[in-house]
Amino acid sequence: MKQVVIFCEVIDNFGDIGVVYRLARNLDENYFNVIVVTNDLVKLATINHGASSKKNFQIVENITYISASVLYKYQNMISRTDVVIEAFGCKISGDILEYFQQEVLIINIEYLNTEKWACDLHLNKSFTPIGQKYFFMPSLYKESGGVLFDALNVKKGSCWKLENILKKYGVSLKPSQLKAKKYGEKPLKKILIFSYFQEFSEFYKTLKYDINSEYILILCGEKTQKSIKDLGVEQGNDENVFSIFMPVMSQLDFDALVSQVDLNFIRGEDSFVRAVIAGKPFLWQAYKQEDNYQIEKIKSLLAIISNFMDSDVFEKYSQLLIKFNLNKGEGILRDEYQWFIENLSEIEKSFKFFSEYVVKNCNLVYNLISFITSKQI
Amino acid sequence: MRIAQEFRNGNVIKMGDDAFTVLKTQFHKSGRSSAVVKFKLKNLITGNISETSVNATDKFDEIRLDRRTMQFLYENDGMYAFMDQETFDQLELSSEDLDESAKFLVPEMAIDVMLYDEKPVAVELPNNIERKVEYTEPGLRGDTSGRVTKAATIEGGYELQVPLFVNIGDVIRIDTRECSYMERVK
Repeated sequence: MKQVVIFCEVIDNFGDIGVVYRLARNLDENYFNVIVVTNDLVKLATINHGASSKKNFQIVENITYISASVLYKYQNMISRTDVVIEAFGCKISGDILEYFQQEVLIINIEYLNTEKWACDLHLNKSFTPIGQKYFFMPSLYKESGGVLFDALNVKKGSCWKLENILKKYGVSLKPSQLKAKKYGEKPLKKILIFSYFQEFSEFYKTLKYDINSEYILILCGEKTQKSIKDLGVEQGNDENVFSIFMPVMSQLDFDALVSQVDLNFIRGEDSFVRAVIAGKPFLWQAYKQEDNYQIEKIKSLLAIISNFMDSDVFEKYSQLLIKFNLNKGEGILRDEYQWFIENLSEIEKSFKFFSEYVVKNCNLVYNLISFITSKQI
Repeated sequence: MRIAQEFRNGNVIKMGDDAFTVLKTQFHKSGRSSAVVKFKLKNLITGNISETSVNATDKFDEIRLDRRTMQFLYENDGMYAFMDQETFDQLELSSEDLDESAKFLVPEMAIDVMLYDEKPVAVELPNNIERKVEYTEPGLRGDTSGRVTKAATIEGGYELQVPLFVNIGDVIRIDTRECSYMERVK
């Protein structure tokens, strides 16, 4: 059994450790002995409810987690490692590289990138004082490293039902809380928002005064909740909208929610991939970069999506997505949101095709294991 | 030490025990605030050309090469001979070592030869040089906008595109980094 050590330095939020937790599980399922070294056990324990933020060394579901601060105590354990994964360019000091007694294969898994150049850099050799090192570029092109599907995404039993997940976190959807149930006339649409700070007032008004549908609004993450609270919205019913302020969930529960709603507003990279795989319409909020460089990433994503969408729908969707990623979405008009909401079921067809394309062509775990095998370490 | 994104074409970078001339750099913004640099490198000792990607903030030593002014003598079967103007020692560089610079060498010209561990590895041309046009077709009367170009052969045999108003015998200034026409000198 090959041993893989994944190094992850958490900078902020849950994205980095989220991907690493997911990757570790997937490698374990494929018969690798997996060790994760991280600087932030608190974040790990928040998304992995089996883990403890207090234990510097722990084995949870077959995966060994070691706090970076005490790694020196476990030199012997990692000295026989075959593969080292630097998650997102996580720097490994020269002292730690000396722990490895045999020639290791070092793989720097970069942030997911929607731009085509990711393919050009994928599996590019890099410099390392020991062993061999390569860049591995996750993306949505066949020629890239792909994305993490996570096998658990397809295990959709009753625990994946929206009502059951919400119940787990103390939210009970009684029929009386939902106007749609009460009147039994309007269709009910479920929307999840997980965003950075964003201007949602026009969007919220669109839902609130919609005469055709009613909505459950599931609000995840501090920044989302602050953005919505600033509009004076509280948990519960408000005209057509029933808002739910969710506590921090486990990764698996979050994955399930993303797959169960009709529309996702999603941020970052890992959550974005969940939305893509769910095959449901989404608006992706890319991490804001200097000089609005995130728009390049949005345009690259749109170029891929254009393959699966009718041109008239694509034109409106692309305008909306670009605006959503500029100036916190302030320029978006209610009409634009209205069009999006009204056409969700039609738009969903395109996202299903997109999802099928990704699942068929962009399997990161398969690509990663194939690469490791090809290096014959 | 310099961070990877600060290296430019022509710089010499040290990676491990090896020194490389940077032939090409590509900078890409990755996720969040990170970035990746892809280098096309030439090993100064073996001459092997390779591509390497590194994080833009990775640090590497830059090697300052020894520089000696020499006179270009002649080219013979892809080998270019130079003479040290103080010691009269002669040394040779291959066309691969010289790359684009070979286009602008003319006998007896003085040029800086770069040495690594006393071994010649490259020459360094000034950013622009002046050369006489040896042959070009006459330009058509009336078309002097400068936007339309024609081929011209300069001393040494290199052919480049020049505006239509350039004639045989004119001296032109050339950007050696782009291998392109800049202006007519006289």
